[in-house]
Amino acid sequence: MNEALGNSSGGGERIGVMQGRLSDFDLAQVLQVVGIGRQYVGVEVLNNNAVTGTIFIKSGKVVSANAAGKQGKEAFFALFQQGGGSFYVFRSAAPGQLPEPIGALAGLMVEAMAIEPPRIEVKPVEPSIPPPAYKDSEFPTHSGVAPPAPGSAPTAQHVDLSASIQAVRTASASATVSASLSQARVPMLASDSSQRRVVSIASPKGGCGKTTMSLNLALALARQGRSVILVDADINGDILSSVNARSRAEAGVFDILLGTHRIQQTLLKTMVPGFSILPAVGKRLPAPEVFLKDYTERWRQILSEASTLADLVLVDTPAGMFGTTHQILAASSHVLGVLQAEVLANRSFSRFTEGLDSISPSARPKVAGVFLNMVQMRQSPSLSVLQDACASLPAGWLFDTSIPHSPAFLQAADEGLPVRHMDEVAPPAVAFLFDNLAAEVSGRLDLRAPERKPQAFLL
Amino acid sequence: MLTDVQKKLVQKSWKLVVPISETAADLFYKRLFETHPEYRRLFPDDMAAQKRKLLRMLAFVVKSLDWADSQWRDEVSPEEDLMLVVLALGRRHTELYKIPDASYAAVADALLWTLDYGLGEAFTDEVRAAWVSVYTILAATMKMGCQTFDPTTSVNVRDSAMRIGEAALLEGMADAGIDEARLGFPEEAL
Repeated sequence: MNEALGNSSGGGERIGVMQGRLSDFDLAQVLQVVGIGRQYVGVEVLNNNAVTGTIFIKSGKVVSANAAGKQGKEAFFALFQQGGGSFYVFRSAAPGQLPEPIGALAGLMVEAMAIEPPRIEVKPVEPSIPPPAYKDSEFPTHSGVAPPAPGSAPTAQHVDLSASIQAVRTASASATVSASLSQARVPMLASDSSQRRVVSIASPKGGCGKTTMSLNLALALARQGRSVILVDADINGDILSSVNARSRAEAGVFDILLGTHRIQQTLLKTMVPGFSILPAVGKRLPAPEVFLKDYTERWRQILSEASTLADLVLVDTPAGMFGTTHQILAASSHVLGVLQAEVLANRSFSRFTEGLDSISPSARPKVAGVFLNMVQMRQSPSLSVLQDACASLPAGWLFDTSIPHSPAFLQAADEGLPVRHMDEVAPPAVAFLFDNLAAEVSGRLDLRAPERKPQAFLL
Repeated sequence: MLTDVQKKLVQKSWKLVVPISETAADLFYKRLFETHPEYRRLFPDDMAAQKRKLLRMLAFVVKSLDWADSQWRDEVSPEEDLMLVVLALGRRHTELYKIPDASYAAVADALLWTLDYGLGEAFTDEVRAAWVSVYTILAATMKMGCQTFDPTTSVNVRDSAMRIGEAALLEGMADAGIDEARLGFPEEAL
């Protein structure tokens, strides 16, 4: 590190401000700190003591950036994507005439973070493995080659690119399929039962019922005699909204994330034995910085701590497969997908697999299954999604139980209750479906069986 | 990152604190030691000087946020640079005062509690969020300041600081080529 400092500070005009490893502080954190200064500061990114690029900043403006032949914004984004290595921050006299800045540091950081991380490379697939029948309008799997764009002659480059993307898709999808097969088809062994389970509920599209599914499923699992913690990881805090208890939370999981609270202080006990809720936020929203940083490791710590307090931790994630959801998925042992029985949701569902593929294999959660939600038996587009899911989802993903579109959910939301609790004696029929679903989920996750209370006789 | 609106909110609310700043400092330490009695021993018996330091630091932070976007090219001396001063502050807190990392949360709580108590209705959710943002960045800067302090050059410095006190530490850090360690809070900031 000192050597690097010596090499890069040459000329004696640079005054060292700080240096460290990017594994301790990522570039976003370093730049945020540099952003409050008003000196002319250079941030060097090093890899094996060799400088890979430098960003020059003054008063929160990015004056210039260079990295491996790239300049300006492009270099800034490239440095942002680079993982690992170290950083060296120095100040020096500003050049006589400061040029117009490339942009405000805050804005460029937000732009840089919006860029999806590069996809994980997957080795080309063996030709003998048949591609799974994914429905995807852009890359139909039947031909293996994308159709030419309308109104333009197919160029060689176009076809090559599509074919290689197809190869990656096929390979990664097959990998997930085989992983899910071994996960779903192989009978679960008792030895696995001591393992902690953190199960995220995710979907690429919003509004397809993740929160409703999470709440009612968690309740059903708890009613079967297991201890369950439901974590609301969506900043909107809709779990508490759906049970009309927003005012109950003093703090939430985002406060734990920032280190101001602990799980035990924030966990809310429900009236169902064994069922607790970890709300998203308390009275105050967290600082916006919480969304600028990669908190994967922190999520892992929090969820793993939560899993020591219950048989099962269920996490209701924000819509989409990237951003906060991506971090939570990488910190989960399993994922449950929610597919809305509606055409748009079906079209965007390929993002579910793609989002999972973008997580490094060692951190990628197992797919425990996919629920079909809001099925309307009298609507043919809704049924076509069901048919499509049966035909194209990898074997073992789709649960046997699907949840119909039902006015009972609206009424339950209105009353601020889970559907099961709307009527003590005769709850709406859909409520019992969650008992089925809970049984299926516990089978797939190999959750310990609740103690049986056999009836001695009927008559 | 702080938005311009947040900077303005912090400046405006600080103006309301200035007339009652001594009471605010009393309240701050009262709250801190009430919630964390174990931190009392980290401070001298006579807290008068410490309270002045706290107020000077806060005044300096607020003043440092006060510049127009068009002034971005202006030169600012290192002694008045928020980043450099807060990095040095972080280094002093770890190397010299041996402040545990966990205390950042306790201080945040005491600061927000004091502002809430002192500002009353003026401490709206937006004002609170602005102060939280400022504090989050300051705490991150202080932590980074101490952790990016090169241990190979600071070992001797730490020893002498234990023996002789702050002046030696600052001198030693300067000898090690870390010149912003000399930076403190300008007296005239408040």
